[in-house]
Amino acid sequence: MTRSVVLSSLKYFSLDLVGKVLYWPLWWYTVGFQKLMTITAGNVLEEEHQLGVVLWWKNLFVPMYGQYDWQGRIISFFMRLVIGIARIALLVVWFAFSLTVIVAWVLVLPLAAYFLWINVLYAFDIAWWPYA
Amino acid sequence: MGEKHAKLVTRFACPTCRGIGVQGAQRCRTCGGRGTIGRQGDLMLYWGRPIDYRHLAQRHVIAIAQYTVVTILLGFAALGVGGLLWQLILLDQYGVPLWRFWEQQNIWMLTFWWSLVVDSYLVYHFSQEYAKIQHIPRRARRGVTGAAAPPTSWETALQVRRGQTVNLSDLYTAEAIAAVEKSWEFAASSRHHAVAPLHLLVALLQFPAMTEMFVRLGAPFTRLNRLVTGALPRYAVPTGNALTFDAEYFEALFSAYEEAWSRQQKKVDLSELLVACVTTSEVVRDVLYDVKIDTDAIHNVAAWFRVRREQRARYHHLRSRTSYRPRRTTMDRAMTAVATPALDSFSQDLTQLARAGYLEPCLGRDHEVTEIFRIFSAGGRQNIVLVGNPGIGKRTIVNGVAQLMVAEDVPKFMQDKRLVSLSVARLISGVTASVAEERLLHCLNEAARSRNIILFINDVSKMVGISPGGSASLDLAGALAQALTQTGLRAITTALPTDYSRYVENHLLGQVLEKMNIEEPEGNDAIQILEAKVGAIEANYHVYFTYEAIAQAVKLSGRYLHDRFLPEKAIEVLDESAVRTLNEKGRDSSVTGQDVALTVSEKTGIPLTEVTQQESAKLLNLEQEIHQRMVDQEEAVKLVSAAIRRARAELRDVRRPIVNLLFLGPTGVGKTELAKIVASVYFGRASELIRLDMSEYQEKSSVNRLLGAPAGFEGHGEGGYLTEAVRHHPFALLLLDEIEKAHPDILNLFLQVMDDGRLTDAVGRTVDFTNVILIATSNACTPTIQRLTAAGVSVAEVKAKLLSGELQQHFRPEFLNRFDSVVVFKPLGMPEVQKIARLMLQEVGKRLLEKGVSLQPTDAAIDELATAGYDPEFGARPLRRVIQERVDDAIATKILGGELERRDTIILDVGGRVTIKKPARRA
Repeated sequence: MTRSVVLSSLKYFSLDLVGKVLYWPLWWYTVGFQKLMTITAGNVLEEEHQLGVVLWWKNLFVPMYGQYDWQGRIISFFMRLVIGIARIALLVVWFAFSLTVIVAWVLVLPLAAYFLWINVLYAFDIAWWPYA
Repeated sequence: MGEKHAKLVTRFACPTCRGIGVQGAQRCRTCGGRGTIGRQGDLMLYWGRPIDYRHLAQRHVIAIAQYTVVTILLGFAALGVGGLLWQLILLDQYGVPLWRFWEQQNIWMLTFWWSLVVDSYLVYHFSQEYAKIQHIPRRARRGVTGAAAPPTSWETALQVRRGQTVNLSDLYTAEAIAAVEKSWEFAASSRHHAVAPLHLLVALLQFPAMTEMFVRLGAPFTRLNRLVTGALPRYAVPTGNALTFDAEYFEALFSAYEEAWSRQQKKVDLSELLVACVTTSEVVRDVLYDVKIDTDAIHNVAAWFRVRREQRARYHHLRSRTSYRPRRTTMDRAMTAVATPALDSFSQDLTQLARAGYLEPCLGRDHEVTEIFRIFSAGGRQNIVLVGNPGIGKRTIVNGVAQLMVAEDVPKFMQDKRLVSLSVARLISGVTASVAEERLLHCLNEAARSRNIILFINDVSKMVGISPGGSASLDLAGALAQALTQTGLRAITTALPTDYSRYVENHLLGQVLEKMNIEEPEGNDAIQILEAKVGAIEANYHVYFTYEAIAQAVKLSGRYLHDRFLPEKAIEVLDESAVRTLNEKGRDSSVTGQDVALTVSEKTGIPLTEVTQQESAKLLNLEQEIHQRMVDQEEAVKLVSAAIRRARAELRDVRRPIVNLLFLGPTGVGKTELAKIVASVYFGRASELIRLDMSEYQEKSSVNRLLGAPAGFEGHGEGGYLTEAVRHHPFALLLLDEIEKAHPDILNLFLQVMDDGRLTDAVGRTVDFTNVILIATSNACTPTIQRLTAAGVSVAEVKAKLLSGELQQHFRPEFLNRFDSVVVFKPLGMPEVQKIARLMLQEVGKRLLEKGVSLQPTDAAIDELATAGYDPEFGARPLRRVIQERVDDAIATKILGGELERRDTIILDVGGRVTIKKPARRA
């Protein structure tokens, strides 16, 4: 009885595993990719909120520290411009990083497959293109 | 079959198997083993995790297999990284640029490329596993509405749209699932025929978190174990079915979900299962009842653990959200605010303190916090005054607002703002009113210009009346009110109820502040607030509180500490109990309900700890003890003793004094004496007797002496003689001597005392009289009592006659009705006076013993003294004078004449003759 339960469970597990493995590439480029995009977008928006880029640019013409005289306004405008650009630069870096992750996600499987192929051919010392 | 409970989830039992999921040895075909289903709006809930040997074993094997595969894959992924690193090292050694690693073809790179594939599979695997985790749907947490018509039968309950079914087991935590499975395994191994909530209780007790919960509940584990073992055999009775969950068990599973839903939990955890066990099963309730754990206690301890969980989660949430706020600056994120140096020097930034984690958590006050946001958002007055007694948590609510502001979990107009606590004391200290006003205006100006500040002013009433000029000039509060109106500045303030009605309500300030009453938390609310706060006390003193300690702190401080308010007074009691426990029992000991009772006892002088054997013997023999010093008057002694026993056994009405007694009788029969004896026998010292000679209160104006002088009179604020005495000695005997002589208005005062057990003094403090034994004595109707007893009428009849007639000429019926009993003291006869003479001589003897001399009165001398001291009209009163003249004076002469030495014996004989007997000389 115990043996049969163990065997049937393992059988069930194996079949389930096969199913999962078959679904994995499909998931990678559909549901998984969608999730990645959602998470990345969330992270970028979070970073934007942290840096306050939009908030900063919205207040470009509002004097800093409540200095409403014309000197204050001018200094404040240039200060905000410089810091605003710096913050955008930081956000761009973050965005670039996120983009890299997305590209890596898309490319990882074909690249790995390609290099695996190359390495397997090498291991068995077979020319991958017999007519070369 | 059909609807079982009108609850959040309506249950429907399968009509074929009657809700148990099996028929004989087979799974029920009608319900497919589900047994009972539930409907919550348009959702259908069921328990969809089959539990039997086969499924348990299957899940076990699959779990092991999955664990093995994942471990191997993780190992391979690590190997891949190692392979790449090794390749890089090799490239470095050969001088090849590292970025050309991908061109290499060897076993290391082969491993690496494989590991990349494995990595991606692992990402996929864990993401799938994570997606399986389900939480109680948010929609369900808000309440489900819009269902067409509620189902009325099993068949209609099954009719739901696709995707509207919820498997309850998906909403249980892994531990809760394990508990359910363990309960089945336990029932199976015990060869029981049904799995009931009691099995679940046994299973729950195997989890450390639940053990801790029962430790907090102060449960005696050996006894609990015995009780559970004793209750289990009922499930060994064959039912004709295979082992399965019984209907009550399904009920518990649904009930646990309801509990989690109503407490806004994401998952059903162990504590919800425990609560469900108790609420659904009579057997579990009985077992726990025997170890003094009731449903309320379980609910509150479950809340305690939940609150701790939430505190941790809230802390982490706060930590992660605070990163948005600028650090160590008073600026907003857009840097449009203005620096506020003047305001900063007179204030404290609560949002900065909250950010640094210095503010205590605010729990159980969600309603008040939401109300603050509502008032701020509404178009009317946008400033708030929190009105409440000291210590009920006004400040904590404001701290809670500060914490929410830091986490930005506030309405939009409050985001990116500072909550600044302006100190009135700092504003006015050491300067004249005009300077203080200048400072205030400066601060308010800065706050208004900065536009990112919400002000908090504690005790705003202190600002009223601080005026730089005459009565017509604007005071500080007026200046604040003006600034709030003109600048649109928002403020939260606090005030005590008395101060609010006296100073703020009719002031200009009252017109700009929206009043918000903060009520004192009571009962379970107070217990749960305390549960959230004891963590800090435990960490400070390294001791642990049991649930009973917390419940006792709330109950006893609520009942006996009337000057102050919950939760602060209970926190203080817990704090003191923790110190005592640390000192007496050492680190890591638990603070029990007894420790808390002892602390409150010491603070109030009221015996509140459990009755010890010694005290119990004393209480049972109280009559005998009183009679050692009191002759006769059986009824009076019996009544007083019974009242004290009732009080100590906590069987009395706690909203009235322990007992109200009226002693009636001629002078000199022992009325006052009995009161004194009770005070010294029961309270341990005669000083716990508060005696009011009511003949001193014949004028109406003497009310002021009892309650304190009213405002505008000399001595106002000092409290009255009576109220102060009872405030300082709440557990005492209040003796109102010769009450018939008091002014009728004063008697009216005592109506309230006798009925409600409280009295408000001139200052407005309510004084608690519920632990007072109130005895009034009166000589009213003395001639009648003497005449009737002389005629041989029994005491009971005398009393009946007096109550129905003559006594009402002296006291109003409502006054007489307030007494628990009217006791008539019968006039003393010669035999009683002889006994009293003997007792009085014993007193003299005791005083002489202190000088090393003993007194031996002869029987004839005692009779002679009794005869001389007896007066039918004055009772035993002349006896004291006779003993003074004939005995004390004679002995005093001997002492002063130097005739007495230590060890001598004085023989008192008839005619007041005193002879001295020298002790026999030792050989």
